[in-house]
Amino acid sequence: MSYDPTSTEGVPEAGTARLQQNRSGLFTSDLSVNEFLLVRQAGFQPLGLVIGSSIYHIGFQQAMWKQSQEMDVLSQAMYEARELAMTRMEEEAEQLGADGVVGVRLTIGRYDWGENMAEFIAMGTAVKHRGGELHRAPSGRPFTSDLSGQEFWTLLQTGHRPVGMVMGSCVYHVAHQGWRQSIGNTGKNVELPNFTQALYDARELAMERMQAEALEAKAEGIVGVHIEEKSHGWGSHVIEFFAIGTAIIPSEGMEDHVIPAPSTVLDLS
Amino acid sequence: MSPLFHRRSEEEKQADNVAKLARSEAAERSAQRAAESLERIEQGRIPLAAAERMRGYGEGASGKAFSSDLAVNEWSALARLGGRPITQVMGSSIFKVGWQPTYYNVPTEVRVLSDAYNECRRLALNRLLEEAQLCGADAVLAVRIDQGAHDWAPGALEFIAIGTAVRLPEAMREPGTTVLCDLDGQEFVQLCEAGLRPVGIAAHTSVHYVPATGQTQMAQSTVGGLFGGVGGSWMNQELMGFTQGVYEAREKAMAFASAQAQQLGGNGLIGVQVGEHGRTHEVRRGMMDTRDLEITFHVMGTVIREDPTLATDPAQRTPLQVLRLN
Repeated sequence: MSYDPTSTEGVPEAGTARLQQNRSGLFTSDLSVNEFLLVRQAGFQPLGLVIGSSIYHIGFQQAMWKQSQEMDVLSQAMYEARELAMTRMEEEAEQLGADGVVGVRLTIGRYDWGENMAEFIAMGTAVKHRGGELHRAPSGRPFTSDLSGQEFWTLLQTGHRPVGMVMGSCVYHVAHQGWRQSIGNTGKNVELPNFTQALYDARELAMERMQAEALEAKAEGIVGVHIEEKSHGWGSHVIEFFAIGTAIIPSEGMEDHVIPAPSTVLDLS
Repeated sequence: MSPLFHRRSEEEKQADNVAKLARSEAAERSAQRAAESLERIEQGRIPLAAAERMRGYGEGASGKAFSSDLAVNEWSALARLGGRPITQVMGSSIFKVGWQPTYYNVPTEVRVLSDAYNECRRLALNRLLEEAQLCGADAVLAVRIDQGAHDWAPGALEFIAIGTAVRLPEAMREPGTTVLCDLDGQEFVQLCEAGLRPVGIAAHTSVHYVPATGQTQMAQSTVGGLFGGVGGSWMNQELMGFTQGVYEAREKAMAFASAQAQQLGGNGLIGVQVGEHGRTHEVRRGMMDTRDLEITFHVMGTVIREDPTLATDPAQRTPLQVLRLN
């Protein structure tokens, strides 16, 4: 699906009404005081809190007991639901005329009110550069970044800017050990090669997908990558590897920028 | 002599009567005070004892020691600018929630619940404000709003707001009002020095009921999945009805909080916290057992206004990058 950077079709009516309020001069933000002051110091004006969310029903897939394999239905679900939430958030930012979104938090809520159901929420503060320098990603999309206000400020000092959050996900079924193997291992120090290989594969797949997204965004690199390993209630042997980070590019005209040396402090407490 | 056989003299009897009278007068006074306090509570105000304690700190009560839950660092940040804590102030309200329908067939705001949350919080904050005004405060810092629950009052809400009332230096005062603010001392000082004035707290709660739509019901049931094929529970799908309902509830809470911020004359709302909790209602519709959703959003943030007169030298505001050696 090609993305139109000016589209706002995913934003519901209630959201549109609230954003109208933001356009009339009041901004909202979930940044702390320190983060807010630093973002301002960096030359950006917060415009409003932007949110995208999706309540998603995750389908079902049967795994072979003795086979390590990617659960592609589940991988796809985790991917698509996050994309939906992120895209809606970007569309809200678009509606505010923002350059980008800082301090994005991407969370997955699981509730007792629905098995196989999860709420994906992306939330951050839309910002615009006061000097009017366009800080959008090369694709024309508002940039997104999960860096804190402090990290964002520091990144800009290094002559780089964020282009977007990139992510990779892989839900993997790790094969059960055969009884022959279990018995053969009794009392021995041995590596479990099939488990090692399965987890290795899954992690590599997630990271590769994240890197592919960064390449597509023409990024120079990815900072602040987190790799999480989680089971979202799929029972044992099925886990998700999720990699997420902020892709960055050099700021225009700052390619030969020298990063200032920090002062050193020794905290005596 | 044993007091048992003691015949009381006239003086003793008289003294007894005086004491009795004094006791009954005291009982009457305390009953009167209790009645008056109750009446004040009903008017949304604070009880007598609180008012008297606060007046003790008010005008003309100089030299009284202050009490404060500000940490030493907060206190010193404030003291550097000439601010001084007065006392801790609080406000609370326990609120009984009325009847509500057990289920709805269309997405609806559960006004009984929303209103209870908002009214209860408003009462608690107003009482905090009254205490602060009585002790002559210019601002209340580090206000936190906690939600209480008691097993002897099931189904009742309680909000408790606690903060530290402070006198501010002349330049930082907002003439004629007492500013409530959920920031700590350092944050308050930092904002002021950057030319931003905290002007109050904005908070709102909305509770929405979202019934399961046809698509949601199909996804919830295994039968739909086996026989329904496409659209059933085996398929990945977004639950459009729930997503929409949750969006509406959240947007409503945020829009109300923003409107409050505008009313306070602010042009920003920072440190916004969005709290969410959901619960299900099992409802039987025709042949289907469905699980509907009731979702509650609490939104709260600090309202700020640009005020360049407060700003100190902007050159000082550039952060110094440091590398910690330990």
